[in-house]
Amino acid sequence: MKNLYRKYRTVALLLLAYAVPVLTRDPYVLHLANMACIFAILTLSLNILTGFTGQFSVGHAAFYGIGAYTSSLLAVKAGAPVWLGFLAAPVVAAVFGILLGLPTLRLRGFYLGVVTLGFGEIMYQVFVNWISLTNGPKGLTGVPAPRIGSIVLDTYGSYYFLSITLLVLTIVVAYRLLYSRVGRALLAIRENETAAEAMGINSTYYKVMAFCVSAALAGMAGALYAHEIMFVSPESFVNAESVSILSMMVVGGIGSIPGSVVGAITLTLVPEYLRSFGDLRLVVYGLAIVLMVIYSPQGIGGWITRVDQYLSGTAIRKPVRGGVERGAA
Amino acid sequence: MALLETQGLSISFGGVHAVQGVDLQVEKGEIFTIIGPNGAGKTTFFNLVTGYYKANSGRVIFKGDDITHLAPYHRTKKGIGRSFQVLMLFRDMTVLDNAMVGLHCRLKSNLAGALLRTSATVREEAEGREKVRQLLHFVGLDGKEHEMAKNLSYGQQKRLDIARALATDPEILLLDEPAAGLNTQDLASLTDMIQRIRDRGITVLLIEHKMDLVMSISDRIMVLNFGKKIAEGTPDEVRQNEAVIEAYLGKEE
Repeated sequence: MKNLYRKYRTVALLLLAYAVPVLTRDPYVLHLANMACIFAILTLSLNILTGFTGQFSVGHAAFYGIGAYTSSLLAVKAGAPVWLGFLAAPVVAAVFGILLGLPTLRLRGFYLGVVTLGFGEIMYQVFVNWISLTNGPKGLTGVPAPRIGSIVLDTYGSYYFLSITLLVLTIVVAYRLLYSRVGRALLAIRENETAAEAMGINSTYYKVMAFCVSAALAGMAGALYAHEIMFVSPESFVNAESVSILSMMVVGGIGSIPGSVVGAITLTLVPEYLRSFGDLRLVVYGLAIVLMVIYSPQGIGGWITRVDQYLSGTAIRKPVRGGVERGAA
Repeated sequence: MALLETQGLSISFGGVHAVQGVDLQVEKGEIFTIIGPNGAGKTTFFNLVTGYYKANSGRVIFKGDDITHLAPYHRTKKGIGRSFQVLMLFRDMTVLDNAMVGLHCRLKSNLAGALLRTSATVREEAEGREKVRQLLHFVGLDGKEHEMAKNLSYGQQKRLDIARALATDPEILLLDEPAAGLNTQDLASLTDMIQRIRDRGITVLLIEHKMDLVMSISDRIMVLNFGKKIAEGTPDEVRQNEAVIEAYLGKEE
């Protein structure tokens, strides 16, 4: 049983994930599934920066927006192929990641939080006010759907296959990064930068790299978002979105990869299913997050790891990396 | 040529001359100890040698190269390893990963290698783990690979600190009060370990307060007081030096 579980857990999860458009044809649910994938990518990208490297960011929606506008503008204004936009979005976002990462190298914790918050606000203002480029608050319409050969991904169901594929790719990137020489360097910087330097780690280089990789993934999520709803406006990239991503990471478990995915899915779906609470919806949502952080600081990721260890019979062997208090500070 | 040399190394913090004009030559293969009363500037001296502090004046020369202005990580790469007086382990990482981080500057795989999981990366990781397991065995931490560093006992954490520093493959290892807080049994194995480290061909530069340990294993000793070198020599020479006796016991009226 345990061997069976260990052997097939990944395959089973993948099958389930790819079967969503088969299990439901409801476009609303499929749209939510796309959004869950997009936010899962965003949460994972933030986790690489904050959970792995310990660099706090409260302005992640900025990179998301940069990616969304990059690919939308390329398609709408320059008439470039959609896939070029999907490539350009992470690259442009990564450049901004480096630009933000370099001057903030000496900052940690709250100080870095405030700077990234400011960066988020600046980018929002740029999206709103640079009307000749972004069309301002009215937003950009007519963002085309991508196509693969003769198949146009213009339904939520067909688009979902792109979303889930990019999410799987991001998960693979996160795992491979974490369990590598580079990932260990990031964790070491989070744990103790002084000691990391003594191990021969150039912390400047790796902190900027974390910003770069994180921003690139967030930028990719931006492109994925823009071509899903075929419209971008500044409202999607306000600081409240950054806070949502942050909440997803905290609820999922800082530093936990499965936690990021489940946290993003949960916090995307829960507000929708709380609609029966009417105006109390967001109060209940907020309360749930507060209770979660107080009573399960390791987040959902902590539960997943425990269940997974129980089922696969590897208990205690590989505990969750990182804890809330260290990851965030 | 000395392996590590400092020339007139000085640093002040405000009006405090923490280290003043210290000249030191450590020869390859010796165990060289720095002693001195509390606040004498020993750890500050270490931080100057490892690059954590920038000297106001003077030079640090390692294997004939002037490394005075190199960043700490760069000095580690050159072959200067260190342990810390106050433990600075990566607490939420496993014992194995702590030591693997030490191997960082000797491995090559980069971001692309990690993401593509190239065969070179996989091979390098496997070889690295094997090397690190041997080091954990060397310091007596067999079977603890998958424990979180924070769950080790104090003595074990001290040993992990040394294993991690050894993983950087140093030519000279700076140990800052490795015996502090150890019980008698751990102390005996530490003494033995320092000698075994030297037997591996690694020069040891030690800061230590435990005099019996210092006198029994040191080839040479330097004594610091108020940031200045007041004596240097073999354990016997230092023991009989009047300036040293005065610094430790006070002057006879």
